[in-house]
This record gives sequence, structure tokens and C-alpha cells, in this order.
Amino acid sequence: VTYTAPATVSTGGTSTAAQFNAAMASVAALASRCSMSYEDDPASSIGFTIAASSTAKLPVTMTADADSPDGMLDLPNQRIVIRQAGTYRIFCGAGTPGGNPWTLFVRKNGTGSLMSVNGFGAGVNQELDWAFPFIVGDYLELWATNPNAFPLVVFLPCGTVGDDTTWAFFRAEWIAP
Amino acid sequence: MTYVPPPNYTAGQTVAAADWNTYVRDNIKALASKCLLYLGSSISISAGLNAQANVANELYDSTDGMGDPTTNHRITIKQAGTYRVFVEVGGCSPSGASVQWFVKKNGTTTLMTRTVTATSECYLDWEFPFIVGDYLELWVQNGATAVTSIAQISRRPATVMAVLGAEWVSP
Repeated sequence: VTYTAPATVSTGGTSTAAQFNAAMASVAALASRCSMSYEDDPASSIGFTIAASSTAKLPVTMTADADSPDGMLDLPNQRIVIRQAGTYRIFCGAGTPGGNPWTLFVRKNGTGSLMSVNGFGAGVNQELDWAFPFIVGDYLELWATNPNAFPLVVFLPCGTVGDDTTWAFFRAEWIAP
Repeated sequence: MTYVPPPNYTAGQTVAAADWNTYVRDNIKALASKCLLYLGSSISISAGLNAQANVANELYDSTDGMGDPTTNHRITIKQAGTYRVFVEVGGCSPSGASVQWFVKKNGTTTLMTRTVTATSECYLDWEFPFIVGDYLELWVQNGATAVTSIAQISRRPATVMAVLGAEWVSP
């Protein structure tokens, strides 16, 4: 199920069931967008922790901010699941712990890296923003690598998205067939 | 063609061809009008240059073909309406150089502009009304110091130095 250019009906004609179903599938594709985030109390400055010398899916808990009618968010698994095929804009970010290296990256179907960014600066958020093609059932997760010999705590607001309690965000939006 | 608010149909009423084409076909096309072109390698910009930057790569496009990454390096509006237009450009080298980036409509009208240096990136994002046939281009103007390269945009993949995008947002 995905977007197709909607059919033209000739004057005096009527749309067919197939044309109608295809058009509604296109509407479903257009409505495919979701957003989740990690929220915490700024007063506590706790954030989330990445264990020493490890690669881990993050964060440990996510908040559902918006979801498509067919349910792209899988909170128990901290995933975004593709329900309509197409090219999606993937947009994510996290607050950067000061002074220590780490890497934020997006995984598809539990392996590899679709895109990544290395964080080194103090108090600067790291974002990733690009588009990729997906099929139905593909899933996306936000991961991080901490190469340091000590746990790394991400405790800063992530910047351009969210408010002072938003430490990380993860979004997907259908953008083209 | 643009988005037109659809009416409510009464029980038993059929959808006439003209209604289908207006409320289903054209509305869906408007909602799907999105395109992003980008500069996939660095460029040199000589001192005094004022020219179009050829965004020669396409990340995504609508089914009615807004993007032209090969010939004119522009985005052409196929469905009328108000569009979100966005631009991102990496910083320039060497240190001390600066360039001014523009989004131009129909080759002449400047919609947005921003200056970047070796230590800054450019991010522009705003909405503008367009009619069918309007086109958008990315232009660059360099004042005094020759620019030898454009850096990667930090939040984009390593081969992306400049982005020009447009997406339909309202009638």
C-alpha cells in the first residue's frame, strides 16, 4: 500500500472502486507521520545514561507525541514501524553531553546505520535529517555509541525541537512515493 | 489546480467526474507536492561571482515532477498554493571568506537570503504563495575573497553541502 498519482475521471464517467481505493491509500500515505521523544525534568538534570564502552538503543523510555492512524509508534520496543511504503524524512536529535565523544545514529531493522553524527561539543545539540525509502514492516530505532570508559549521561535539551524537558526526539514523515 | 475544501455528500449522491477530479485528484496532488534538491559535492566560488548554484541531486520529488536536477537545477510549482521553502548550506572555506545565499523565484525575485562564513551554516525556512509555473533556484554571491570549498551541513549526510526544498502547506 502506497501513494500513487490519483486518477482522472472523464466527464460523465464515475470513479471505480479500484480508483477510490488507490486514492484512499494515497491519503493514508500522506497521513503517515509520527513523533516520539524522551522527556525529563530539567530540575533533576538526570537525562538518560549510555553505559561505558557500549552501543545501545536509546532512550530507555520514550513519550508518544503524535502518531498516524495506523499506528507507527511501537513504544514497548522504542521503534517507529513503517505502515505505508515510500520515502520518509527521518528527523532526530539529542542533547550533547559536554566534552566527551559519542555518536548518535539511526538503525533500520535492528542493524547497520542509516545516518549518524558524532557529538563532541559542550551544550550543542546534535541532529540528523534526511530521507530514505522504506517498505511496509521496516522499523527504525535511535541508537547511540559511547566509546568512553565511563557512563555518559545525556542531560541537555536537544535544541531546535521540543522544550526544556526534551532530551531527545525521533520523527518520521512520509514524504514521497 | 490547487486544494479546494471538499463538500459533504448526501446519502445516495454520486460523485461527479468534475468533483472527483477537484476534491480527490487535485487535493491529493496538492498535499503530496514536495521536492528536495541538493548540492552533492563541494564547489569553488570565485570573488565577485553572482550566479545560480546548480543543485544537481534529487532526494525526493512529487509524482508530477517538481524537481529538475539535471538541466535547470530548479524546483517548479505544479500545484498552486502556499509552500514551505527551505534552504540549508554548509560553511565556506577559507577562514575569513563569506558568501551570501539566495532563494530566487522565477530567476529574479529574492525570497530569502543569508550570509555564511567559515564558522557558520545557513538555515532558512519560510512560507510563500506560488502559482503554477513559478520556479525556485538557489543562488550564491561572493564579495571579496574567493571561496575554495563548501562544507558539509552538519546534520545531513557527508556529501550534502546545500539543500533547496519546497513542500505544499496550504491553499
